[in-house]
Amino acid sequence: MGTAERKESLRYLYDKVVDPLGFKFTPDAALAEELLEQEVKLEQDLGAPYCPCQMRSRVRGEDMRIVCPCIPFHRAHFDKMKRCWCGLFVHKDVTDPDSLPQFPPDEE
Amino acid sequence: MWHEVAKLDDIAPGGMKYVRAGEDDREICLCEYEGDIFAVSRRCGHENAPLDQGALEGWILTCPLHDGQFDIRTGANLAWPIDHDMGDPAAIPEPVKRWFKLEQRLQWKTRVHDLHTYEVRVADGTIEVEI
Repeated sequence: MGTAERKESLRYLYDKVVDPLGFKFTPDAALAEELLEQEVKLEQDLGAPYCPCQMRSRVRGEDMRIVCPCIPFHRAHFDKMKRCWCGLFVHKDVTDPDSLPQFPPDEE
Repeated sequence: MWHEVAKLDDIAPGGMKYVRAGEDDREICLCEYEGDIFAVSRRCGHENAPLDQGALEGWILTCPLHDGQFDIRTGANLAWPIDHDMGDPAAIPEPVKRWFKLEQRLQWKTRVHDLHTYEVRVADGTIEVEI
């Protein structure tokens, strides 16, 4: 399995999921490439493209909630920040992702 | 040698069709993607599952057995198989649990091959593949 090919296919599949949810890939192309690369490595090592910035609990039901794109499982939180945790996806109207605030879920 | 395998109307947009062709009766999966027809081996490069029973999302074909993924344009393996969710372990009988453990171990030791691809041409609404 080639990393470049897998990154391309993840981009293709993710776009179909996040677009109807009002999100897009971050305009920061370098960040997107880095995050996708990390997801491919996580998938190769652990079997699924987990969010690169989240810890796995090793409880399958919980871990499935952090498989990218995890927007449907944390929608309210992400909508408030206009981005997901790692920043791979942002709201469609976002042009400057670095300006977006981040806060933990308990401060929703 | 070129073999006529199907009519263009036999395949819905974004759909697949299983055909057999050639002297050795090869199993081929025809795939439609944005107006083009692609032909790949019908058998998964992991454990031989029939790929026409899987899902085609654009140019990405997902195996119905363990969800391995392939690029129909090149045959390249894109994602390895994934484990099934067996639910609550306490609800699974011990012999079944042992079998799935073995199956899981073997699955991860099975190399996933790229799919064989075939040249395709369409003329007068007829699809031909080269074998």
